[in-house]
Parts: sequence; C-alpha cells; structure tokens
Amino acid sequence: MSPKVTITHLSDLTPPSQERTWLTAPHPTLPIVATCSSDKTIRVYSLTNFTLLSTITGGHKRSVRTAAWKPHMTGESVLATGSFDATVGIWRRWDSYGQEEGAGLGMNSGEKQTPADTLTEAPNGTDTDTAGREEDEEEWRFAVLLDGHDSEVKSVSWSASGMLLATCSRDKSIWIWEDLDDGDNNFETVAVMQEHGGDVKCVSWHPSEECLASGSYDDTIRLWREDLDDWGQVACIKGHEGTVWFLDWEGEEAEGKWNGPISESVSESELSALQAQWRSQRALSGPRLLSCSDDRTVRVWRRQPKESQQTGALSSAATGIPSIIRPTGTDEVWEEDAVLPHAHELPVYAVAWNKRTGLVASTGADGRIAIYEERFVTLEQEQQADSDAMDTTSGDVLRTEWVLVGVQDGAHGIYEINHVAWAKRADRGSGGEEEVLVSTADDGSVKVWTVTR
Amino acid sequence: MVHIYVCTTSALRTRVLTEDLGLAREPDNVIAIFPLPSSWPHLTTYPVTTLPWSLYPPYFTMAEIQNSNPTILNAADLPTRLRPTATRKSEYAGIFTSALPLAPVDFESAPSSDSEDDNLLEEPIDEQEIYDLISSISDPEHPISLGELAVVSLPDIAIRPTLPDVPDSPLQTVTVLITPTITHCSLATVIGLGVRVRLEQSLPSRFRMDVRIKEGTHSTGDEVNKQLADKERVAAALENGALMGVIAKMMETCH
Repeated sequence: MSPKVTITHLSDLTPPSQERTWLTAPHPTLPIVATCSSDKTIRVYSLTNFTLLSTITGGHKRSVRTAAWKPHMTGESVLATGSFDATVGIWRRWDSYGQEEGAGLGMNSGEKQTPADTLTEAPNGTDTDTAGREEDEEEWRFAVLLDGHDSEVKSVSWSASGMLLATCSRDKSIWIWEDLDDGDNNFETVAVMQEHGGDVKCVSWHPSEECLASGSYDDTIRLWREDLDDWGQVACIKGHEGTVWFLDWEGEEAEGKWNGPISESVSESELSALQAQWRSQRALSGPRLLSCSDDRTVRVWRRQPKESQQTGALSSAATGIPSIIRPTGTDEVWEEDAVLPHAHELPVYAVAWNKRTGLVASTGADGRIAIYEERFVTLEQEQQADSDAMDTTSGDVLRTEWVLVGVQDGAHGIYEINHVAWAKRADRGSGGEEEVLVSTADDGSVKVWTVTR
Repeated sequence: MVHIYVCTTSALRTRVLTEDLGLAREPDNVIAIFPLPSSWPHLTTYPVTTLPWSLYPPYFTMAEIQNSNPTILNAADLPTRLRPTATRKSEYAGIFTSALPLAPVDFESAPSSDSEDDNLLEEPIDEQEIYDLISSISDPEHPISLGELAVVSLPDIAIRPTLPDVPDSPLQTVTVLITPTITHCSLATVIGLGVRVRLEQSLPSRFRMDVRIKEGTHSTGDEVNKQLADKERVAAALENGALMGVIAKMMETCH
C-alpha cells in the first residue's frame, strides 16, 4: 500500500444519539445531514458548526434504518425515512436553518455563506429559537406515511428528477412510488418488483437516468428500468459471495472537472490523451456501479456498451437466464470492472463514490475506513507487471487499477461503522470546493473527516 | 389461556419466526403457526381439536417437543469456573488421584457472580468465561441448559484477534459453534439468536460475535448461519416482542 491521502478527524456531530445510528444522509444543497437512529428518531445536524438542529420524533415505532433527501427542492426540504416498523415516512420543513443559525444559508442559494457569521452564534439562541419555531410552524411536518411493505424497510432512494421514490424491504420486494406533487402529499404506487430471492438491502438510482440498482441478501445486484409502462429487471449481476449491503454510482463528469482515474507517471499531453479516451469510453457504457458485501469485498461494475452486447451477451456469465417474455433489447450486460484491493476483515456495510474527485470510501464491521483511488495503467507499466494486475478490463478498453491510498483503523473506537458518505464541506476551515467524509457508527456517534490528497 | 394462531397456506410468510429472524407483526401470544389445507375456508379461528396436528407439523411451536428424548449430560460434569467442581480433574482421577493436591481445585480463582461485571472489563476474557455465559441458557423446548444438552461445548468456543494485521487493535472475535440436538431442529435459529444476544449483552463492545451451526450438524446450517450473521436481521429481531419473549425465557436460568 502506498498511503497517498491523509484522513483527519474534523469533528463529531453533537450531541450524539445514545443508541445505534445506521446512516447519515447529506442534504443535496444545504450544509445539513440527517442521521437515522435505533432510538426511532432522525437527527438533523449542521455541517457548518457540527451541532444538532432538530430531532424528528413520533413518526416511527421502531428503529429508523434509512433516509434520503428529495432533490431539486427550493425553499423546502423533503426527507423520506424508512423504518423497521415497515413504513416509509415523508417529512417536510421550510428551509430556514440558515437564518436561524446565523450561517447565512439563504433559501435561494446554498452557496452564499459568510464565514464571519458562523463565528457570531448567539449563545442562548438555540433554546428560544426552538420554542419560537414550533409556533411559527417551522418545525418538521409529518406529511404522509407510505404503507405497503410487509416487514422492515431497509433503504429508500429518490430518482435524479425527484419524481420517483424507491423503497425496499426484508419482504424481498422493491416498491417504486411516484410523488404526485399535488400539494396534498399523494404518492402513487408505480411498481412492485419481487424478483429478489431474499431481503433487499439497498436501492440506489442512476445519477441521471430512470434506472434503479438494488442489492440483496440473495447475493445479487439487479438493475431495473421501465419499458413500455412496465418496470422490469434488465440485469442480474452475480459476483458477490455474500449479502450485498450497499451500492453507489460513479459521478457523471461535470463541466471542466475531472473525476476519473489519475496518473502521476505520464506527461501532461499523454494524460490528456488518456482522459479523452476514457471520456469516450465512459460515454458508451455510462457511469459505473460500486458495491460492497458481506464477502468483505468492494467491487466496481460496468455496463457493456450496447453495440458490443450482441456478441457478449451469449457468453457472459454476468447475466441471469434470458427472459422469454421481455424482448432482449432492454436487457443489459454488466461486467465486473474491478475488485478493489482487500481492506476489510469483516462485512463491508457501506461504500461512497466521491462524485467530484472519483475517490472511493468503504467501511464496515471492522471499524475501519478505507480510501481507494483509480489510476491509469500505462503501456510501460503493463509490460513491467505482466498481465495479471487488479483490473479485469480487456481488449480495446483503457486499463486502470485501484490503489488503497488511505486507511483509518478504529475510526469510531471499538465500534462497528454502518455508513459512510461524502458531503460538501461547510465549516469555516474550508477553502473552496472540498468534501468531508461523514461516518456513522453503532455507538450513536457521527464523525466528520477531511480526506486530502 | 392458550392461544393458537392459525394461518392459511397463502399467508405462510408468517412463518418468519423460525425461517426468518425479526418477525415484524406477530401477535404476542403466538404459540404455534399452522398451514391449513387449501380446501379449508379462510376463517381466522378454529377449535383446537379440529387443527390438523397430524397432517401438518406446526411451523413453530412451544407446545410440541421435537426431540422428546435428548441425550443429557450431567450438570456436574460440565466445565465451569463459576463453582468449584472437579470436572476436568475427574477424567484424570484414576491416574493422578494421589499426585494432585486436593485443596486448590479452582486455582484460577472463581469470580463471584456479584463482581462479574467488573471482572469482565479488567480480566482477559477466555473461552471458559464465554462457556459459562452461554451454557446456562435453557433450550427453548426443554427445561434443560444448552450445556447439559451439549448444544454448546467448551472445545467449540474460540477467541481470536479480529484484525490480525493490527497488533494493537482491541477487537476480538468470539466464535461459538452450536450443535443442534437433531439435524432438522427448526429452533436452531432461535437458539443461535439466544447465544448471540446473551454474548452481546454480557461482553464489552470490542467483541465481535460469530455464532454458527457446527458444520454437518444441521440440514439447513448455511441458511441459519447467514441469518445469525446478519446484523440488520438480528437488530430487527431484538425489537420483536414475541421473539424476545422466547429469548428472555431461555435466559431465565442464566446467572
């Protein structure tokens, strides 16, 4: 291992829950996160000063396992929560944390933040604010309870447009709900998919398309798309040898920001050539999928470009039995792109793909946080290291390798870590565009880390 | 009063109690779950005498004993540090009777149950201590301890470092192999869960539990093992009143 990144503890989110926390969901635009706890509550913390802003209580009768923020909301935040009580809650709140906390987080622009304001926090302001907020109806409003699953809800995810909400459960089903956005909090059941042979542990939407990925206790990852008004499975990826605990997608390339593999051993011009080739390759296969499992591994999956599927589909072991009912045109072939370097001794519970930098973080029952970086494998390196490297790509595909670049042992002391996520850094120490890593553990603690290359 | 919960074949997902940890919505007074012949009208209650006891085995029952004649070990012969016994010596007694000093039988000094909690934190925890924690759990269908039934035994307990490559890591993994009394015992999951819960409640958080069915001793061992290793399912099971009632009853006999 060549340690190339530094993982530094920035702060804890305080006060913590006294019970196990499962997951922390960063808000898409505001510097706030929602933490799900076994104490049946959801805690909303500020990433500006790392303190508790609100505790959402009263909606769930058992552990809150999962939460997701609806994207593209202006002026109001909408949070979906999934619980062991088999229900999904939808919560709403007018955006006003910024003004109240004096952090200058305007409703209109999440970017506008004056560092001076964060310093001048009223010492007694919080208590009076809480009292005032309730009267001003500025607290979290319970909007609707989505009832349908037969047992514990494990994961919820909003589609890129925010129109669709996917939920999954131990009852082996995935439900897709459409937010009718009719001002009356009505949701319509669009589809119920029951192909998984075991608990569905996680669902995650494609970053731009209406394509859903799910991971399960049956050790498979499945992909789902709508075809002529009917939602159906388009791929079944068999590769993991244990429960698939979590999934995340690669970020799509944003204007002028490179989030693909890096290289230190080539010249500027060679690098831009590699990047150009990488770009065209990614344009064909789309963003890759990242998964982690009870089998201790973290893997990356790539969709085979449509044109090469004609020949590949028959020989590939990555797909299930071809469907007779569905025309094969919608089926996708997903291949294992890489198995990341071994870093965990116990089940890996979460992975997070940094959409801006391309760095991958993983964590799990061994209490460790691992960071990986993808690098181009140049022709010379390839000749030196013979052929059997980490990567599995072949033929005309550009070769890359994943390198373990940082490990934090005992990140939450002796406790298991259940989740890790990248969030935009918002405290006063931040300079420009930068992410923090937010980790969530069994003892109720949530920690914020900086990861610097 | 005895309640019998009856479900139709189509509602068989309710058999989660044994097939699936973490039953979500079972009434608290369930003692047996039956599938009914599909020809029966889908009523919700039947007189007990009309239930097809002989046709269909209940999926879960506290009333019927599956193995009515298990092999039982003598409690005094089980290895323990909690009370002074000559257990481990007894097998050598014939040869070493005169050679062994009689007085200090428990030279590792037995902790009294009062100070047990303090000792857990200070003294290193060994296999014997794990055994003492779990051997006194009762079998859910016999009023007999898991130690006496040889469902758990000292040689099937191991403690090892969780992260061998991190020498100063305090994490340790406790492996307990369970030997069900019969190979198709549907209560293996419940027994395994009881052992796991007992250890999680008694040991410091730096211990990771690895409770498994001993290889070759159960017809669906892999399935049971996957459930027992699933953190989410175990967590959900702990929030389930009906299941925890069973577990609590098993632990009544623990110190």
